[in-house]
Amino acid sequence: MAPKGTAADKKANDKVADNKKDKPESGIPEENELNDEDRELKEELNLCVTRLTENDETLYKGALEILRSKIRTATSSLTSVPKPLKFLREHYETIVAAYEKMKGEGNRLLCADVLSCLAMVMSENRDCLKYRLVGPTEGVGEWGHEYIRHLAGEVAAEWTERTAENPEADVEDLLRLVNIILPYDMTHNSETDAADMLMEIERLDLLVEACDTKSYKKVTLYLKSCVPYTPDPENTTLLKTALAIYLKFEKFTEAMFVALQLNDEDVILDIFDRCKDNSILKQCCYILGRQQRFVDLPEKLPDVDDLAETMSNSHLSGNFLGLARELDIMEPKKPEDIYKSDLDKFTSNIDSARANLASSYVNGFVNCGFGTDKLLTTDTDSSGSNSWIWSNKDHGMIAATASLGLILLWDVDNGLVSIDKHLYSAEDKIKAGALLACGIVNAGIRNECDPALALLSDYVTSSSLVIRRGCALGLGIAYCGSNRDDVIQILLQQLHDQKSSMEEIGCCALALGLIAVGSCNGDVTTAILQILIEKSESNLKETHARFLALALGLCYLQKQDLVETIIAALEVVPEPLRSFATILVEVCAYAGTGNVLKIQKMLHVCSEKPEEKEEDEKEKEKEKEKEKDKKEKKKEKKEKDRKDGRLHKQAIAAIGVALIAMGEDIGSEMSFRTFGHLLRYGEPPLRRAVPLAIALTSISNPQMNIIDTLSKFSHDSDAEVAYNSIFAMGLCGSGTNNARLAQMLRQLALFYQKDANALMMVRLAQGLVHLGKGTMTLQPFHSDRTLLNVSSAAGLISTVVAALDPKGLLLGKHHYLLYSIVPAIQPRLLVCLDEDSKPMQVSVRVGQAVDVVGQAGKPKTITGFQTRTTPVLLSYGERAELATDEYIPLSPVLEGFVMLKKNPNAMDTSENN
Amino acid sequence: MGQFDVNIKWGKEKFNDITVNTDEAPEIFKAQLFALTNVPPERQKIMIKGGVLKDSWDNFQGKLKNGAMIMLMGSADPLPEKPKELPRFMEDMADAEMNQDCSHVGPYCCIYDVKGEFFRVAKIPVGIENLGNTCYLNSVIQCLRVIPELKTALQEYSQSDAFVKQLKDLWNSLDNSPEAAKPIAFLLVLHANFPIFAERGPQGGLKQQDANEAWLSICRYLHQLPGAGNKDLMEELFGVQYRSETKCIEEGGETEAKVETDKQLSISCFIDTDVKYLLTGLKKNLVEKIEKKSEKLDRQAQYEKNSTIERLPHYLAVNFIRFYYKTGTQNSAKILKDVKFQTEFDAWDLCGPNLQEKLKPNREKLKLLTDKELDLLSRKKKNGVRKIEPPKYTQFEKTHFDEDHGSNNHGWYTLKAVLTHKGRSIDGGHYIAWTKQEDGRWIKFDDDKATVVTEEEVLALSGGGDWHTAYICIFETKKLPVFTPDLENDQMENMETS
Repeated sequence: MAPKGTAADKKANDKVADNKKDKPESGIPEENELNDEDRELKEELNLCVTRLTENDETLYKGALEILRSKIRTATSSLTSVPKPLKFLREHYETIVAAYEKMKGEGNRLLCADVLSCLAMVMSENRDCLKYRLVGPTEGVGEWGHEYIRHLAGEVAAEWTERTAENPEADVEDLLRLVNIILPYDMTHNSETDAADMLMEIERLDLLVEACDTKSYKKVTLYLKSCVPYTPDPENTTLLKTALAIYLKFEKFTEAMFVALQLNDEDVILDIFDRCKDNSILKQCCYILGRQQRFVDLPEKLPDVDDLAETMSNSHLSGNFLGLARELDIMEPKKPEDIYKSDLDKFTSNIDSARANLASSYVNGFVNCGFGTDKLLTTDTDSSGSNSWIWSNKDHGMIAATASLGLILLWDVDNGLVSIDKHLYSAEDKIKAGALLACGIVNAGIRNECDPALALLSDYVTSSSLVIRRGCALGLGIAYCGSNRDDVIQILLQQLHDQKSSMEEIGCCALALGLIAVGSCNGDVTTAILQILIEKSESNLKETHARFLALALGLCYLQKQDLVETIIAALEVVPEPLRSFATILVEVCAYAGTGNVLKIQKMLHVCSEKPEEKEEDEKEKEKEKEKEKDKKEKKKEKKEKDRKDGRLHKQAIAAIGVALIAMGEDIGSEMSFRTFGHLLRYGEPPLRRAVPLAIALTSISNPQMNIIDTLSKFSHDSDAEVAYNSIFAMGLCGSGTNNARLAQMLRQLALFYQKDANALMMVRLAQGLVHLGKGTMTLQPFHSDRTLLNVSSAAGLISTVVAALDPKGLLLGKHHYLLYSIVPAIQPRLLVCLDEDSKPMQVSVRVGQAVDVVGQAGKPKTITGFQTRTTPVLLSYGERAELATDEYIPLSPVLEGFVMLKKNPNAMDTSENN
Repeated sequence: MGQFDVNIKWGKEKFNDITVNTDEAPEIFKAQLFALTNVPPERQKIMIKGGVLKDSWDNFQGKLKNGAMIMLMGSADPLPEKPKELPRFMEDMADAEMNQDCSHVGPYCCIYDVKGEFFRVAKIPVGIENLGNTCYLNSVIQCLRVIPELKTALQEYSQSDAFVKQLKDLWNSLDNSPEAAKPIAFLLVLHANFPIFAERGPQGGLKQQDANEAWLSICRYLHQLPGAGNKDLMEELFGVQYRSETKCIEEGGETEAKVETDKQLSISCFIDTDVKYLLTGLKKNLVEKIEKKSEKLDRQAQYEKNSTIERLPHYLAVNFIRFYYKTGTQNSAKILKDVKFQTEFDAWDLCGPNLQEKLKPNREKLKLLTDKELDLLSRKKKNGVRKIEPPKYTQFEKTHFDEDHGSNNHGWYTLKAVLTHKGRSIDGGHYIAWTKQEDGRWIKFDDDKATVVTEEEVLALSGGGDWHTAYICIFETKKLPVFTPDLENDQMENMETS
């Protein structure tokens, strides 16, 4: 996509060109149509031009000065072509001719000045710039705003032309002009124009110096918003420029956001080095914690332990419970409270393991993070046995025990104590669940003692497959995004164990992918590629093979071009995994970038017709037909279709479209339209993936149109399309408590009363919608949707990839893979803290965020707001601002944890009275 | 290695400056922690930076230093045990087993609650599926099912009649099947016998019908069933006999009242602005003004027709006249007015003097009984008995006159079933049946969905809004228990001992 700046420039130029073209037709008004004033002006101008054609050079100066003043007074605003310019059009050539003949230096300068302005409406040959270069250097700004815009456009064009041929070309003269234009723009409310020009001539460094305390906010905002539309190396330059500007003005928290966007640890450490204000440093740590990025702080910092603890998110549980108490939602909820329609016990007959399994998940999701519930934590009878876990069957026990981890999420200290007793269970599945729970509790939290690693590493070598799987997944969730080498080594050992089945390899690979997300960790990628080469073709056709591909993809999440080598290496892998993996890795690399070319490529894959090899098969089948009953054959074919569909490249391509477009509104909207077509005309495996793809573009944001589409396909004749649509509805509404969606799901539960699989999906979706009783989000973009939390994204992608084969995984024995969504769970809160990090109550306005990029003045950043008292919940697309100026927030984005300090210049004195 | 002062974190608790001596065996350190936390050493998990303390200090090598944080995990709580009784899951049972579980335990079936514990509840009767605007029929059938006499008669009916056979089959399948019944065959015979119900709408679907019409049609058809006495069954059970006197109320008209008798299968409740209670509506319906040709005056004259009831049936079907034809808009409109009814109903005021005389002795008995009951209750109350239960009777007197099978001999009724209509017009809306089971529960039959409701919910069906409104009420003759002195003594003794 072209940078915004150039597009805007082009438009401006077009406008002038349009005017130019328009003129001859619409015509300069005939002499007699002119009013007196205009006729007088025209005659005066004509006279001046006549003077110039005469040979008396002494009169030139006077004439030129009259021309100049006439034009200048008229060009101050340019809504229509000003009259003097209009009248002088016909004389342009004459004046040019006169200029050529002119000899007096002063007159030549003066004439060039006038010509430069006239050229703006006349020529297409950059005459404006030509005459400006020979004209005087002072007083350029007096020609008006539009002239400067035009000139800047020509400078940029000239610059590109010159440097295109020879990068070393002499641009000194142009630079001189740039240095005139830049201060003019910065002081005349057109900072964006300045940024555009500098972007085009690739001299953004000039911008840093040109910024002052008034203009820097707009400049940086504009630069940051250009980032998604700029190709790879330039977007980094933009960010670096913004960073430099922030650092220049010592805006460290703003700089921290940019540093995170750059994902550059050196820059982060640099900020810690430069900043001397401890509370700002602490705010920076809160920001790092939200992004789940842990850096080793330099020891010399004051209060380094406190900062490290802030960054480790260990405060998260306490503050979240504070919010829960404030909102009065501490009372645990039962799954039945969510189902509601099931109040009527008499309609349900016998307890079903399936229903209990669903309830385990729902219970976990709903009471997520609250530390208490009604099934697991409180329901222990005298002997201390917990009957709920035993009301689940086989693998259900893993899920039930592990849901304890969800309930105690983030509360490492208490959580582990509560889980501990289940580690002594005689039943392997409960043990496995407890281990998984240990991992879940630690998700996104860093603890000094590393309890997850200490506990889980003991069990990696266990003889029980179930325990080993639970252990691997637990490690993956606990250390998601940390790229910890010690954890990776443990898992690699397990991965290479010859005894490992595909299921276990899948779990290990998933865990490795989560841990090494976005790190390009060579150890992990080599190990996985090795497995891909070693394993037999039939092994790689198994549904769990998808996680090997996923792990590679996660390693290269958002790494864009770097992924090429991996894609090349995947050539050796047999089909169908090869195409599946290649596409998955590629889309992961471009996830969240909005890269249009990649989206088009993926759409192309989606539109491919299934290969023609079917015809050969048909012939073979014809022979078979004689032997086999038709029905039997059909059944067989269906089963075959399903198996082939498991690792279908079109399915992953559809997911890919969503992944790439995710977080970028226009791209998401456009892809939504395309998804509609794919759902109607696609092949079955593709159709099954589309609902999930739709969900990815709208995580935790239940927009009406999206929910309606999904609701329609939740009754699809293809069962798996229906399952995925239901699950997608859950993802879309996750953590919102959206009443409309909840109602839809209750109706679906009634509709699918007899279909155990669909009912399970409905329950899962209900659990997700009420995630954390509606206080949480799965949306990986945060902080005004500028930052992508890679761990969250990894969690989401893993869940979606697992959901691609609902019957084989989530609805089968491997439902515990659903816990891979845990890293994506984040509270959607705003807590204001005083300088001692104690939560405080201040009134804030919460409203729909408004895009204010490039707007003049001080536009409102939110609309339709309500005033509330912190702590508050923020929905998708909402933004908060302080209602009074009593405090100053230390972070520019009011999201998550924000520290406030007293405003010494507060206007509001009502408090003091 | 050597001695270190470390901080220990155990859940929310923190112990500062605990001395660790690595020259001693780890057991000693564990014992130290046991003293602090009560966590038995074998359940202590002691962690430092990703390592767990095992039998030696190896894992802690290099990580221990003064002020290091050590995490202790473990609790003194008893370990969870496997529950003695594990729930059985639906998924593990064969189909037959499941059915057995649901339907063969008599009126009870097993239900597991969410925690997997068994408990038993009475089985809910099943509903009837809607085959497209057949809710009127479904609710009528559910109302018929409260009449056990009808069931016996259907079973015993010997002649081959398609209508009766289908009704019997439907009844049987409702009794025995665990799933909602599909009344396809019955609907077909109904359509064959009463073509009006087969009427179809412009889209080809069946039209909604008047439930009262269906009720009367079916009752009329069932006239062929023989009764226990000399009359046919329907007449015995539902027949109401009227005696009406028609008198001219105009000056110069006939002075003699014309006496007629009339038989009907239900009584109607007339609704106008003054009617607030069922009884007033019924009374209103007994007094009619009619216009007919007077022979004496030789012109159209005003007459008043006063009816009284001469026979009360065992089952009293009350029809609320809620629909009337609006001539202005050319459609039927519904009167939504609230007409209250109770679970008990006394028909005394509707009866003629002859009948009243006949009812008297049994009414006396009933009154005596209730008085004694009340007396007993108040005495119990006085003695401080908290839980007062009405006495349980085992013996009942017959409630019909000797010569008239299926009649009512004391005038008291209890509510047995309500058929409601929801909607604003006769050819639309939705019909639902609410019936009282043998065990005293009220069940709401909304087509195939049957749910338990409370008596209050049933009494709230009296109308006055757009909620379901009673359209037909079926009352059963109140039972007349035999009040023996024994019972009284028994009760008294019980009371004293308690």
